Amino acid sequence: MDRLERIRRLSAAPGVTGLEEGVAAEVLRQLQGLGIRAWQDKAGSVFGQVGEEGPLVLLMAHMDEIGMAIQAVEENGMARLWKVAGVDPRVLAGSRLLIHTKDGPLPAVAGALPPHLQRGEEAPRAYAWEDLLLDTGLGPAAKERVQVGDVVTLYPHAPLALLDGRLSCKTLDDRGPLGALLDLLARLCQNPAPCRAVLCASVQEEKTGAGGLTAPRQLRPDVAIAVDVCHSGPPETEFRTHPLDTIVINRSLCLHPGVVNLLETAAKKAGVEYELGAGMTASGTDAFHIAPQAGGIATGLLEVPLRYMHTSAEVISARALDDLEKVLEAFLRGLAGESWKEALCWKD
Amino acid sequence: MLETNLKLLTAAYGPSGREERVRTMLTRLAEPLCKELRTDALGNLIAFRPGSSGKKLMLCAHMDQIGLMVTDIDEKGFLRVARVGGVNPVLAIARRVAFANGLLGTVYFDARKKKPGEAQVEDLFIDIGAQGREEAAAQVSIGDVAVFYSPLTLQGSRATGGALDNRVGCAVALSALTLPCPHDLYVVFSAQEEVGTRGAGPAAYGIGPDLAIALDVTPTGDCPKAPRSVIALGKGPALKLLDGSVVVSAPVRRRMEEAAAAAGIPYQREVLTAGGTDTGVISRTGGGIPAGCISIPCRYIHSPVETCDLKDAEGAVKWLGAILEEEL
Repeated sequence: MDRLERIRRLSAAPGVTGLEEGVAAEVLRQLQGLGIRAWQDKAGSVFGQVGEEGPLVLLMAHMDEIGMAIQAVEENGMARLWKVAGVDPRVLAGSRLLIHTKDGPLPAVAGALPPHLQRGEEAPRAYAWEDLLLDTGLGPAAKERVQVGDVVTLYPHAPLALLDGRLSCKTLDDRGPLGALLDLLARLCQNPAPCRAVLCASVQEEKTGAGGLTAPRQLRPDVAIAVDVCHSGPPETEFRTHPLDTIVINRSLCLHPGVVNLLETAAKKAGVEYELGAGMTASGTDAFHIAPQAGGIATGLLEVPLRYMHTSAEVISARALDDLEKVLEAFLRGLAGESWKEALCWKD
Repeated sequence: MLETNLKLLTAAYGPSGREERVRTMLTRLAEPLCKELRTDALGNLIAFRPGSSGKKLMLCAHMDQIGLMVTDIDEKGFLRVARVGGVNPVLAIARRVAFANGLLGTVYFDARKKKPGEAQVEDLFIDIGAQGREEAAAQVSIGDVAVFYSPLTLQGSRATGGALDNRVGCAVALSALTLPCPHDLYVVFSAQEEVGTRGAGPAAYGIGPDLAIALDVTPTGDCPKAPRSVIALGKGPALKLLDGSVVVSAPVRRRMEEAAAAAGIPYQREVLTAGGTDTGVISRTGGGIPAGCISIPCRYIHSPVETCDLKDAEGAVKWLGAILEEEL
């Protein structure tokens, strides 16, 4: 299975924050397809390990996706929505959605009062949650099919191949990088690195960080690298954004400077151009949650730029995903011997 | 049992971090129903009843209530306050409050600058009838906490008063201690829920249960101009699916749905748009703990006139009965 196929399957699997069963099954299938040890923990995160010796390296990409839940079903059959995590109601009107009901997935569209009919205080403006209606096509009978609490995802489409190696579909955050990690693991199976690489597809990154909190307490890795997306702006939004093709080594304060150094060294060795990213604590990624667990874990964060985050038209670059794999592979292959221990010491 | 316990529990003083009196009351009520009772370092009260399955089930109801903490005493003897938990300053105006020592006060506000609807917590003061700072300081210290003084009243099956959030959950948990359960049963009366769900996580860490069910109140959408919500009083306890702190996992959700269906208990489905419960921190404790929540619908939460329907609380006890008996 190539990386694009991995990403296609991952992107289409339902897994709204806290209810990741669908995508967890897909990740488990892909790991088992590699013939490696794979397991799931109590929090729901899925793991796969390649290598039985050397330092334990946790590679984490979250598998949960932004999504919504049914808040109410009106007498006329229209359903009301509420966010579970990460959804901006302004981009929903006119979207295709999928309701995950007790009897299986049910397609629906999100609608709202059109601008033609808005008057006075309703004069054209961005839609809020209370403006939106979810239309299954059913009238009052919708009450029998749709329940309060049913989860709603963006509608899965096959990835759209844009020009110049760019790819667009839903949930590339963070299943684009997750697909790249699975691709890397497949390569490590053929040609092992001198470490125990544990991939963790984590749960609940978009809301509570539950996977980032719980996984390291059990695994107690020697070093952890979270892999997530960051913002690539449309042209002319340069502030705190990165070019779509250039991966980012984050050096926020909660990240270990020794890990940042190792990642920069690996990038140079692999001949990969990168940018540095910075923020106070890398909050909003699993790295923020991993670092203070189990007595403290040396943590790094690699980011892949992405446009139009949390929409059904996220855009990512295949070149950046190639570079992500190259940097991580060089990093893992550089962990031979004992020198990594020295590299992770604080040098005051 | 539920009604009697609820009266005793709502009358017991116990704001967040100052749970001593309500803990004493809970100890008195739980002692005959369990094998061991202990209080942990954060003030959580934990009742334990051994089972035979080798599995552990934890119930968790927070026992603390919101209040107003004294931050300053002015020269005329009026007390200035800060919030303990989610007190709405507008709803606190013209209310009686009580301190741990039984001292009563009246909350009012600086009416020269603002209308009642505009009052912030900085504009509030408590009048304890003291004439001057010294007389006040003899009765109250900086850091003391006052709670709404609002004794419970019952009309039909509707109960109204202060601290129903979450003494109704505590009363349900006490009733659950009388139910058969093959598992080691830990009933946690958690501390400091109202100030950021600080007690339940450490309690869950200490216990390490195979399943945890929180018991708390949830707002309703059944009164005039209420925010949209499908929850109503008297239609049964609610299955929490989502709140600000948690997305209840599918296996826990299914387990609770199946238990309700098997026992024929009507319940409501809850998607709560704001606020959190102990459920969230419990679920993220250690390597992760399967955690759900049964909510008791409650109108006017965080006011002195919180209102529940006792039939919903009774339904919660029956539902727990079905959950407790299931294999883990």
